[in-house]
Parts: sequence; structure tokens; C-alpha cells
Amino acid sequence: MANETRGRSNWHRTATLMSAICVLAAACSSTTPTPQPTATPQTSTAPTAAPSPTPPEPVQGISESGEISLGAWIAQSGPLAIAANIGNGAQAYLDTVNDAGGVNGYTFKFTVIDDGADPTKTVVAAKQLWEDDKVFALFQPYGSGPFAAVKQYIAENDIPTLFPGANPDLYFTIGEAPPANIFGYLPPYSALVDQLVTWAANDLGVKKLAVVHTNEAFGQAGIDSANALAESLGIEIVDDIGYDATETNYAPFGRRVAESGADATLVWGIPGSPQIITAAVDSGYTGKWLLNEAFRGGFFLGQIAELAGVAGNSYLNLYQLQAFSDDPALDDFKSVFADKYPDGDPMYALAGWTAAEMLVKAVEEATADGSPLTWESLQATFLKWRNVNIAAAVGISYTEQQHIGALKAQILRLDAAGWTALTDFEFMPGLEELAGN
Amino acid sequence: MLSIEGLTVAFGGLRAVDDFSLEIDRGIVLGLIGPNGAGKSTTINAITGFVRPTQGRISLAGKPLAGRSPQEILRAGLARTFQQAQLWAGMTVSQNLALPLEALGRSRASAHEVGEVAERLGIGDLLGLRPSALPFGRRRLVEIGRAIITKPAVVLLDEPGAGLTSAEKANLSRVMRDLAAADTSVLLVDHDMELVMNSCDQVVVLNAGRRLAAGLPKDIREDPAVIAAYLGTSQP
Amino acid sequence: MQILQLAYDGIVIGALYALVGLGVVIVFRTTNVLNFAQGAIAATAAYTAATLIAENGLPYPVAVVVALVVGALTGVALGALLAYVLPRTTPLEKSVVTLGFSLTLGWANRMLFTDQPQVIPRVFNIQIHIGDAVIGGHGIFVIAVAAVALGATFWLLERTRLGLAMRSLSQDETTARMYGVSVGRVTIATWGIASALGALSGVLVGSFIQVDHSIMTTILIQSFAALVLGGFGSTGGAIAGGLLLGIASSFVAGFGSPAFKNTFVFAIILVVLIVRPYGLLGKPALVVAEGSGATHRAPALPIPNSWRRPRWLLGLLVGVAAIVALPWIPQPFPLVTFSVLLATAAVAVSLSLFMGYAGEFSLGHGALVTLGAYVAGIAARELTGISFPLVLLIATVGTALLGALLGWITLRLSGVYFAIATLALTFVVTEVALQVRDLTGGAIGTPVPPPVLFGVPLTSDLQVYYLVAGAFIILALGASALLRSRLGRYWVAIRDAPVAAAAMGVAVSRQKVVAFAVSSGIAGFGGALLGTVVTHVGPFDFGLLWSITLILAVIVGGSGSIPGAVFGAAFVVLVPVALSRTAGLADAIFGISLVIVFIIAPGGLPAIASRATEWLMARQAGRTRTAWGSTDAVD
Repeated sequence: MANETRGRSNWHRTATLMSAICVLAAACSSTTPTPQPTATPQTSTAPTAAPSPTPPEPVQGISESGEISLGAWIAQSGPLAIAANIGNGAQAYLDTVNDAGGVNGYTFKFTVIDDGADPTKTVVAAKQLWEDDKVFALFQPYGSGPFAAVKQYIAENDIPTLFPGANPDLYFTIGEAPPANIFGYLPPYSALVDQLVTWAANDLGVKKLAVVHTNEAFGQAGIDSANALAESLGIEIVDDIGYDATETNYAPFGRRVAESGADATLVWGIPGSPQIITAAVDSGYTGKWLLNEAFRGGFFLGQIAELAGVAGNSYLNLYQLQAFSDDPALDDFKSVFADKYPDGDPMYALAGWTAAEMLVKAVEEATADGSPLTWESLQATFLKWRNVNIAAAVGISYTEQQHIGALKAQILRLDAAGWTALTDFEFMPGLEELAGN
Repeated sequence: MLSIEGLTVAFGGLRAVDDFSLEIDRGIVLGLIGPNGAGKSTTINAITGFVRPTQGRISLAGKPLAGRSPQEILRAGLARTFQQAQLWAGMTVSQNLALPLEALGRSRASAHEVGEVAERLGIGDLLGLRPSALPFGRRRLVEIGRAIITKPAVVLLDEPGAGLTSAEKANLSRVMRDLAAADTSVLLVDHDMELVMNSCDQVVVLNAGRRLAAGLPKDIREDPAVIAAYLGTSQP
Repeated sequence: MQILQLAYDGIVIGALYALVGLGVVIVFRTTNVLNFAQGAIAATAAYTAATLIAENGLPYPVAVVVALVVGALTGVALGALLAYVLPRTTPLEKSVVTLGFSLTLGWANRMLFTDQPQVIPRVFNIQIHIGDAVIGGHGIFVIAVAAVALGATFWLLERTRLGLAMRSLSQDETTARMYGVSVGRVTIATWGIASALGALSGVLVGSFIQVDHSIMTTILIQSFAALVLGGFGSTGGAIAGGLLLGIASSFVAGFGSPAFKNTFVFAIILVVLIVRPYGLLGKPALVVAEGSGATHRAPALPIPNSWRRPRWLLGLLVGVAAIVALPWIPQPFPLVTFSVLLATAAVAVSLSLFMGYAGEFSLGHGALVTLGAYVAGIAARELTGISFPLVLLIATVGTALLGALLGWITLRLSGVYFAIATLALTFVVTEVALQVRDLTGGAIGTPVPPPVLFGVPLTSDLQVYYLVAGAFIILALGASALLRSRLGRYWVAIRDAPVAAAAMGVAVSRQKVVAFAVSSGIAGFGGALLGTVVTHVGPFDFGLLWSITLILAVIVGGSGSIPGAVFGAAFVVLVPVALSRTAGLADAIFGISLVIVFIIAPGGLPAIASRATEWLMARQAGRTRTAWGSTDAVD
């Protein structure tokens, strides 16, 4: 009968385990606060901002005590996990605001759900945030693939979406009226490439351009823009070097760059790009480099800065100030971030901090006259912004014609000391007419 | 019926079977015996299409079999059993028996044929059971049933006596004689001398891949060369 | 384009493939376990070395030695976990546990070190010019180290007593024990050596490319392809395959159009495998892990005999009732979670049938799902108002045909070779989807419009849920019917005793193709459902990682069983969602839960079910004693 007793005890153990898992799952999935220092109550009833004369209608996501609930899906693991720092940066700023008592009676709660960049999990996360947590707005949801999966859901429900970390082509089409519920902070990739390549052709005299790019949306935008501009700028695309994000043998692509005879190479891909550049330099490439924003600091910059012919010959354009900038607008960020995350990389965190500061400023402006905050009042506030500078964001404008926001970028060159600005923040091609008056 | 001429099976430099010839007529039970490593299994595997012969001809009623797939060989009329009983545990005995008929496209009358074979072998009461519920000896019978249900001209039994009680072996002997009486040829490979001698009309001895002796059971039993091969010494 | 240059590039990366794969081969040859944690162990060692050099200022050789020790100890810990905490699991289940270990180790690395990429400084930063080609000193160093490690490993395995003991273990543990092999010690030594090799490869990759989890894992998968190409299980094969794959990828990148690079490389692999089904230098004897033997616990659930059997029918009714009633049962997840679950379960059924009956693994089912989802999106877009059942039909038939084609091409392949060949699907589908932009939307993907049923578009979560639920129930009934049919019995025969099946007239090879075609069709069916639930599909949505998760689901739930597929799908869908608010712990907890599942229930659901059934049967037998040969049907 040994079989019988073993069978029975296994069955009991398994049943106990499965019950435990169910209980654990139920406990974990009920709305739990994400790691935050300030514990706040979480009910959704009519908001009562202190200086409010008339009792307002209840607004989803704003509690009676004035706590604004924000939500995002951000992958905490896997290849996109590097972006988890965006959430940290945002949380750091919101903490300073909450600790100081909020703005005009409003405080901020930010819930992050880990969707592992898996669209089947993103659809669940989106519904949890909007229907279960009842957030006021989605705030910096991260990932293009994930966003594409819930784009329809967001549109159908007019879900307020602020500063998505996703390819702007997914939610904005230049020339068409933007969706009323989405406000972005990323410029279209094509606009960035247009500005950089135009600069290379006009100011650097580049005639032959090689394009290294990944075979996904970001990279494809790079090569598409370069191809579209080539004729009008009088440049020749001498080689179209696409590679997979899952590539590991990068050297051959660098060799192609060296063989291409290009005056300049546009590097519009992120994984492995330092190795491609290294291989190109090793093989004797002496042309210029037009780089993407991943090279603005950290690991990527460190990998190429010492290579022959890179310093003094490399350019990129950025639509936000960087942590290495002296601009006083970044002082708060630097001190707080260094304090909270001494080992963290400020690059992504600054973007999160900036977005949070933009939101808080907008809330402040919308409620300055004592009126209660609604999504409509927040939208109206954004639409008044013309050439606004907040933290690392420069020249932000939102109009009825575009909700892109970041219409300007500046060109920088890599010198011995680091990235040096060559121009002011200027409108990217095609975006000036959308800036409004 | 079944004719093997000059069969050679070589693996690299080793000749497991060397220029072996055999003939089985209709309705004959032929025993193939030999010491361990003599090449009996290889011979069976070559006949039934699991091993490719290096040389030689195998034919069944004139039709060549060498190089064909096991499925084609079954279709031609030659079926086999295995040393380790290979019944399909996820199916009932009845389904095990019916499957060869279905595989050959003869499924229409299968229920009837299954019943018939089960009766012949005395396993009619086991049809709804799973192999795991059967005692060992009965499983052997099911395997044999599976081999004969397609009414092959020749049945190859690979060590069917292993692990059987003497009563079961006697039953097995009877089954083989009945098959022969019904004009089915049987090639029996086994170590049990008594079973072989009781069941077979003819015996062929294989040693080190080569044919050592052939003839009537009683002659083979007393053949000094055969005894020497088994014992490793000669006896006066 | 310099041939010498590209060849050099290819040889360096090929040496890395060979070295990374070698550690996997050693463990596999001794224990039949496929160590998915090799990439994570390599990353751990690399992070250790990088941190010691950068932050503690240790000299390079010291840091590397420490890193090797750390890597070896990590691997030994894993080996001990498998041998002593999970002794009753099959090698396949142990392989799944290594995957769980890898997830948890990844999280630990993120906590202990950093999630930012790092680099280990190069040893020789010189360049040698030979004509137009630039040969890097560090590349030569990598090749030299890899060659020495490969040579030492070969010598260890073939010429020492420890190596003999290791090889004997892989053949037959019981016999090895009889000959005095100390199984525990040899196993631990194996894991230590293999992990030290992994650590070494991590340090080299970390200096040649960068220190980064994803890259280590990607290289690991690519090294599997290299091992298969060269012949899995042989040291010579590891070298040959690594070099060939490295050089092939170099030349295609250097000369050809990189848009279809992976397709081309996999075409090369397939061609080699068609001609030599065990790789260039592989031999069949070295491949133990195939079919329902060494890697699979043969599913204990037999075919239920009759539709009318009361217990089975009751189970079916309860299942259907639960599915139908679900939207009204209070539970913590949004309803769409269960639409995802049932659609995933449909795909899990497809893989479960294939793994359970054909006994092979497919790494390409994610690609089939992607294809099914694209069919749903494109058909609904081009043929507006098309009825959803018709969409399902097109998706199913289309993917079934593709499956039949691939099954026919890979007819002679089995085990790891077959699995890597199915990987070709993943890359081909992704690359085609990226290139045929007008049809598929390119990298951004394409939306999947709401399904139309009887002329009515279904837009609410509830409607979509019932649609998916209905489709799944129909699928489950259909699959059950299939298993009861003659085709199903052929498959059971092939699963239970393939040799006898062949001898009894079953065309085994053809049935394998049929099984893969059917499985592919069902996967496409599930893909159309998933695409509909997610309302969008892109080229990367259901990639290799998703395919691996699907295999995991099938093993946890028990292969060859439809309820098992549902259970497994529930596990891989609900557990991550339940953990999604734990800010970075999700991976670690999921990884640990995999280990726990197999501690509690080696064999997954069917083992539980069969033991429960045995227990019930034993009680019944106790109550109604009958003589041998009674007619009580045991079912």
C-alpha cells in the first residue's frame, strides 16, 4: 500500500500548494501599492481641492483627498528592462512633490505594472489600470509593441495618456488631427533623422551616406527618412546596412561601413551599435558619424569615445537637455537622484523626472485659480503651452494640430570633453508650422 | 513461401550475419536457434525491414522484401512479434489487435476479426482491458494475436517463450501448431530447446552469423557440432 | 569585401559559439539535461569580473579567476538542486527547472550588480594588418582560449577516468553505479566543469561584445544551432558547427542582403540536416534524448474509451460550466485575462498533442501563432465583414499546410535536431513579416479588427470572451475526437511502442508529418484567437521566448493531455499577471515557482492525476475483489 499513501500525500501536498498559489495570486493582484514612500488612501470619490467653491463632479482617478492616480506598464525584466529607470526618475520627482504637500491640494500616486513587454500581458495591464485601479491617466507607459496592442482600447475609451514611451508614429500622424486624449513627449523618429541628415548634408558637406539600422520600427524609420531625403539633399545612400536586434556577430556590418566609401554613417540602431562602430574604425573607416540618442552618455558613449576618428567627428541631435548639461533646470534632479539612486544611470531617469515635472506643472497651472482638476482642464492647460521649458524638456508646444510637444532639437558634436552643443534648440524639419502662436 | 538467399548483414567490419540461407514452406513451423550473439535478432530485423541487408535476397512467395519498409513487408504478408512485448499501453487489448487491420486499410470487418483471433488464442475475456492489467503470459498472447490478425502468410516470433510458465508454453506450442495447420508458416526464434523441439517441424542453427546445421528437431538435438557450439567444447 | 576579414570575424564568433555550447554539451552528455541556465551563469561570471575590475580595481587575471570560481559554484548549486532536491524528475523536467533557475539568477544579477550593460577590458588591444584585413589581437586571444578549452575538454572526456565515468553515466546510470561510478560526485564535477566553461565564455563574450543578460542568452540559443549543425554531443561537432555558423553568418552579413540573413543561415542549417540528420559530425548513438523514452514521462492518461462514460462526461460538463460561468464569478483579474488564457490554452493543446504523441519539441509554435494572428488581421482588413469562423478556417488550413511542408522537410530529424529545425520557422516568419510591409505593416505590425459573427462585430470583452471560449470548447471536443479516432490510435501506438507500430503497419514517418501539420493548424487557430483578443499583431510578439514559455506550459501541465494544456496555460498566464505588481520580482518568483512545481509534483498534472486515479482504483479494488481475468474494465 506504499503507492496508495504516497499518492494520497502527494495529492494533499499539491492541493495545498495550489490553494496557496490561488490565495497568493488573489492577494497580489488586488490593488497593492507599488514601492512608494508615501502611503495614501485609495478611494475614488469626488475630489475636494481645498479652494473649491462649487462641489465638482467625481473624476475617475482623483480621490476625495485630491490624490491623482497615475498608471503605466513598464517591463521590469527582459531586453526592455533598461527602461525601468524611467519609472524611478518619475517616482523620485513625484515623491519630492508629495513630501512638500502636493500642489494646490493635489498629490500623486504612480502605479507600475510589469508587463514584460508581452502584448498579451499589456492588454491585461491596461484594463487593470483603467477599469480596476481606475487611474486618472496613463503616464509614461513604455514600449512600442505593448502600446500597439492597446492602442485601440485607449482610443475607444478615450483614456487620457500622457507621454507614452513608444514610437510616435503609432499614435500621431503629422498632418492629421491628433487624438484628443494623448499628449506625447517624444518627437517622431523621422523628424530627428531629417534634422540630423539635413545638417550633415548642408553644414558638413556630406555627399555619400551609409545607414546602419536595426530591422524594427526605430531602425526602419531611420532608413526610410534617409531614403526619402536623399534626392532633395543631393546625397547618395551608398549602403543600407540593416541588422537584427538579436544579432551577435556585429563585426561584418562594421566592415561594410568601412568598404562603403561613405563620408558619413548614420547609426540608427541601438543594440550592438558600439561594436559595429568599433569594427568600422578598426577596418579603416575615417568618415563622420551621425549617432542616435543612445550615445549621449553611459555605456554606449564610453565604448566609442576613445576610438580613432570618433572624437571631433561624431554628431547627434537631442530633444532634451542631458544630465551632463550645466543648465540650472536640472539641479534638483541631480541632487535628488544622486541621493536616492547613487548607482543608477541618470540618462533614462531624467526623462522620467522631466515628464513628471511637466505633469505637475500642468496640474499646478490648471488649478491655480482654484478650479478643480479635470481631464478637460488639464488638456486645456497643455494646449496653452508655447515654447515652454521644464526640467530637461525644451521648447514644448501643444496645439490643436499636434500633441507631439517636443518640436525642437539641438545638434551636438563629440569633443574631447564630451558632447558640445553646436546649435540652439531648433525646430526639426516640418514641425515649425505646427508650433502654433 | 519465405525464401532467404545468401543474406549478409555487416556493421562496419563485423559480419553479424554471413551468407545465410533459409527456406520455409507453407504450413511449416521452423525453429531458428543458436547461441547468444549468433545473429538471430539481426536476421529477424533484416527480414522484417528494420535493418538493411548488405547482401542477399529475401522473398515471400516470390515477391522481393529486402530493402522494403516494415509497413510494406506487413502488407506483403509477413508479421512479427518482439522480444520485449511491445503492446500499446494507452489502448485496450481490442484496440491493440484491431490496429494492424486499420493500418492496412482493412478496418471494415475488424470487430469480427478481433473476436475471432481472441477466441483462437483464448483471450476473448481480456478485450476491454489495458495491457497493464494483464499478466505477462497473456500479454504475449495479445502480441501474437496482433501479429496474426492480418492473416499473414508468415509469422515471425522473436523469443515468445521467455518468461512464460510451462503451462503457457504448452499453450503457445499448440497455438503455433494450429497456425501451421491453417497453412500459415511460422518462424520461431527461441532459447527454450523443449519449446522448439516440441513445436517445430524443422530447425536451423545459426552460429557466429553462419548456418551451422539444419534438419529435423531430433537430429539437430543430437548433432555434435550444434552441441559444441552451445557448450563451447565438443562432447564425445 | 575582404574574404579573409569576414572569415576571421566568423571564426572568432564561431569559437565563442563552440565554447558557450561546450558547457551545455558536457552536462547533456552526462545527465541528459539541457542546461538553459548556461547563459545566466555566464552573465553572472562576466558581471563579477567586470565589477571586480571596474570598481574594486582587481587585476584582470585575478578577477577572471574569481569569476570562474563564482560561475562554477553557481553551476554546482544548480546541479546539486537537480540531483538532490529533484531526483525523481525526468531530464526534461530538470531542463525546465534550469530555465526557472535562469530567470531567478537573472533577477539576482540585476540586484547584485546592475542592469546596465558593461564591458570587460580587452587583454590585447593591438591590431595586425594582413593585406586589407585587420586581425585584432583580442580576437586571436579569444580563439586561442577557446581552442585550449575545447582541447582540454576533449582530453578530459576521452582520455581520463573522470571523463569515462561521465560518459558512462549518460549511457545508463544503473550500470554506471554497478561499475562503481560515484554518481553524486561525478555529477557535481560535471556541473562544476561545465559551469566554469560557461563562466569563461561569459568573460570572453563580455570582453569581445558586452556583459549583458540578453546577449548571453541569445548567444546560447545560437550556440544550440551551431551544436546541431556540427553534431550535438560531440566535441568535434561543437567546433565544426561553431565555425561553420560563425563564418556563414559573417559572409551573409558581409555580402548578402541582411534582411533575410537568418532565413538564409537557417536554410543552410536545414540543408545540412537533410543530408546529415545528426549534424555534420554527429552520430545517432550520441543522441539519447528523443521520443517518449529518455526525455518524456509517457503520459499516463490513456484515451477515454467512450463518450458515454459517466466520469469523463461529468468532467467535461464541469469544465464547460466553469468556462461559461467564469465572467460572473468574482475574481481579481479583468475578464480579458481569461480570453488570453483560453486562446493560449488552444495553442498549448496544439503543442501538447505534438509533444505528447510525436514525442518531439517544437520551438516554432510562436511563429505559427504569429502567422495565425496575421491571417486574422489581414483577412479582416482585406475582406471586410468576413465571418470569424471563416477566418479561423483560413488560419488553421494555412498554418497546417506550412506545418506539413516543414514536417516533410524535417522528416528524418528528431530530438534536438528537429527542435532547432523548427526554430527556422521563427526567424523566417519574423523576417518575412518585416519585409512584406504593405501586407503586414512591417515592424509596427497590423491591427486585428473585431471579429464578426453572423454579421455582427463583437467588440465588448464579454463577447470576445465567449467567442474565444466557444472556439476553445469546439477545439477541445475536436481534439478529443481526433484522439479517439484511428489517427489518434496511430499516434498512441507511435508514442507507446514506435517500433511495434512500424512493424504493425503504421507509416511512422508520415504520421509524424501529419501530427506536425495538425499541431500547426491548431496553433494557427489559437493564433487567430490571440490576435483577436490582443487586437494587434507584430513581427516580434510571439518569438522564441514565447515558444519556450509554451513548452514550459505543456510540461508543467503534462503533455498529451487537454486538461493539462489548460492547466499549463493557466500557470504561464495567471502567475505572471498575479506577480505583475511586484516591481521586478516577477521573473524571480516565476522562476522559483517552476522549481517548486516539480518538487511537489514531478511529472506535472498527469502524474498527479494518475496517482489520484491509482489511489481511487486501489480503493475500488479493495472493495470489489475479483479473480484474475475478470471482466471489470479498468478505466
